[in-house]
Amino acid sequence: MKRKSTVRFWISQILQNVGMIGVVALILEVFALVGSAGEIEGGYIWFFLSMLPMYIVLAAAFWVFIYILGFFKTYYPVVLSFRAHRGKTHRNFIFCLLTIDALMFVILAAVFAALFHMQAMDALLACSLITGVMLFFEGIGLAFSVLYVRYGKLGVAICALVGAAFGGVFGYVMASGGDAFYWLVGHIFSWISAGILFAAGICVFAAGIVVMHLVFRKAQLYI
Amino acid sequence: MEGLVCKDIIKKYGKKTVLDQVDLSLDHGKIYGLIGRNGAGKTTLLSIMTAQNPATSGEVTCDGLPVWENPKALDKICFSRELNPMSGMSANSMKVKEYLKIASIYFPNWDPAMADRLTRLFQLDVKKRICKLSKGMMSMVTIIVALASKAEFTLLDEPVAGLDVVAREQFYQILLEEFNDTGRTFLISTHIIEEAANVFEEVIMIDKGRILLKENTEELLEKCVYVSGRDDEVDAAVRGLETHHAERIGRGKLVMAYLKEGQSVDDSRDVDIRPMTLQQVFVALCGEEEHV
Amino acid sequence: MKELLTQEKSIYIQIKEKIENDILRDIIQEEEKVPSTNELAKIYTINPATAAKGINLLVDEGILYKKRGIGMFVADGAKQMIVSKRKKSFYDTYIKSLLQEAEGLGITKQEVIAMIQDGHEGGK
Repeated sequence: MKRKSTVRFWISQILQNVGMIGVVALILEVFALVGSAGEIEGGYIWFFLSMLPMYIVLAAAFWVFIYILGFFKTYYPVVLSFRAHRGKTHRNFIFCLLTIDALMFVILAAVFAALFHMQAMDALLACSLITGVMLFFEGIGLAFSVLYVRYGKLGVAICALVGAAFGGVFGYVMASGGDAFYWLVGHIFSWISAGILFAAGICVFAAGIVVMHLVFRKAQLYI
Repeated sequence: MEGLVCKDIIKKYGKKTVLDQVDLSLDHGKIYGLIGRNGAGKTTLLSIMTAQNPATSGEVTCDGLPVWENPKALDKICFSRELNPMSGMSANSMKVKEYLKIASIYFPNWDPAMADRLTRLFQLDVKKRICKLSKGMMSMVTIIVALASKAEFTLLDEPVAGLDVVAREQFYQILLEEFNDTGRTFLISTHIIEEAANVFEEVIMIDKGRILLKENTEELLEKCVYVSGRDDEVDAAVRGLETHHAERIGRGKLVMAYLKEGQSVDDSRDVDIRPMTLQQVFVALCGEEEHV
Repeated sequence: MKELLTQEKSIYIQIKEKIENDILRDIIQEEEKVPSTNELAKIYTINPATAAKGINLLVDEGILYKKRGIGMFVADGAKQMIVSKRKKSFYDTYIKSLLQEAEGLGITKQEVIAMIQDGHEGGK
């Protein structure tokens, strides 16, 4: 069907939001800098630029979460009312998200290599970390949005419960894993950490897709 | 070609049966009217016919192809549902412009010139958000989507709700013009029966989840008459005929007679026989239970 | 031009009678084209199939004929056909119900005839 133009439409929608992400990231970082007044070495400009990626990632992850929620609340029912093909709509949406992620991976890798003069391997590492975080948030965004849109407050409650359960498990692992865990955090910029984060991101993303499929496949969407 | 066909459609919400063994077949090149009381199952039926929601059991096909998630069938179908600011799942915060843009992407035969023309005719401000529109303007948006979709089977759910009489007349004119030009099939569900009756080639009446009748409008009206007069005269005149909605008026009685093939009211009796309007037929068949 | 359609009679019959009346009044003359079903549908805001039904009845009766690709035309002698057809049904349409009504009111045959004669002379 019109895969190209629908994908183009959604990508243009998302890219429109990229500007917003940039703005939010900048604002966050400015506040962070103001808050840490005077304690920086190596010059403000350099510090600003080197921390910017982290804030951009945070802002982007948060923004994607909000965007996915907005999509399911607003665009999803409209698209289905015009062309009632849930399977295709789901596939196109996931395809868009993954395309944006891939684009981001490539652009960031290029930026890291060119602007920050990172080694190719380091750049790849950084990008894997970042993409892992994005996938993670996208997966959570999918599950949450879908449950919220379908079940309303009950959906939020389900998410909260599941989140709490995972939080509990995570806390337990952290406590009993002890040294191993702290070693991982300390060596966040290592292939093992990046690998774990990336894998976690993919798993959560996949889980999000499964939840979306189960909740919306044959659901009664309108009265 | 077969047209848009529903077979044995049953729809249940939990224990409640909303549609009960519905069989309906829409041909190419006709304008149908769908009439039913609120809660009769009209919108549910329409959304099942257009694959927007699944039936509990039964099948819907379009020219022989099942409609559920079938691109070939979906290409031919448009369901323009009522826009509703109250509904939780709807394009509340979207601008009209954006809504129409999305429509243009997803309807393969979308006619942008027609959409423009109608937008100007209705004097619709496309920059407005849908939640800020009046009921009438929301109806106009659904009309624009339905007509510009150029779909072979276009189903409209209460398209004239909220429109003033002039706008309604415009709608019927535009509808007939489009029908004349393209011969697309339209199905219109409406509560404003009399105005629209002349436009429907066939009328479908639905009550409590079942199809009561589906007939050529003119032929239906030729079969339905009011018979009134004194009790005994009326009873004699309609002996052997199917009657509905008897009303007592003093010592007299008014009843609707539904004539079958070859039947007629015994007019040698001292009774008044009057034709009925489509609205009167509907109320007689679907109104309150008989008091007599 | 756009007359109101009543609810008393089937629409296609009203269309048919309207065209017949126009022929009788020389509004449309013999060998002239009558409005197409689409035009009629537009004028009266009705379904074209309904208009077509009325037109087809007239074709069946020989009052109109079809020129392929162009439209429907009034046949030769149509006016006369309509007049004789209406004369024949005059009894059913007017006399029968008149007599029934008179009987219901207890008006005798002589009184009815007297009324008709009055009407004829008074009207002039």
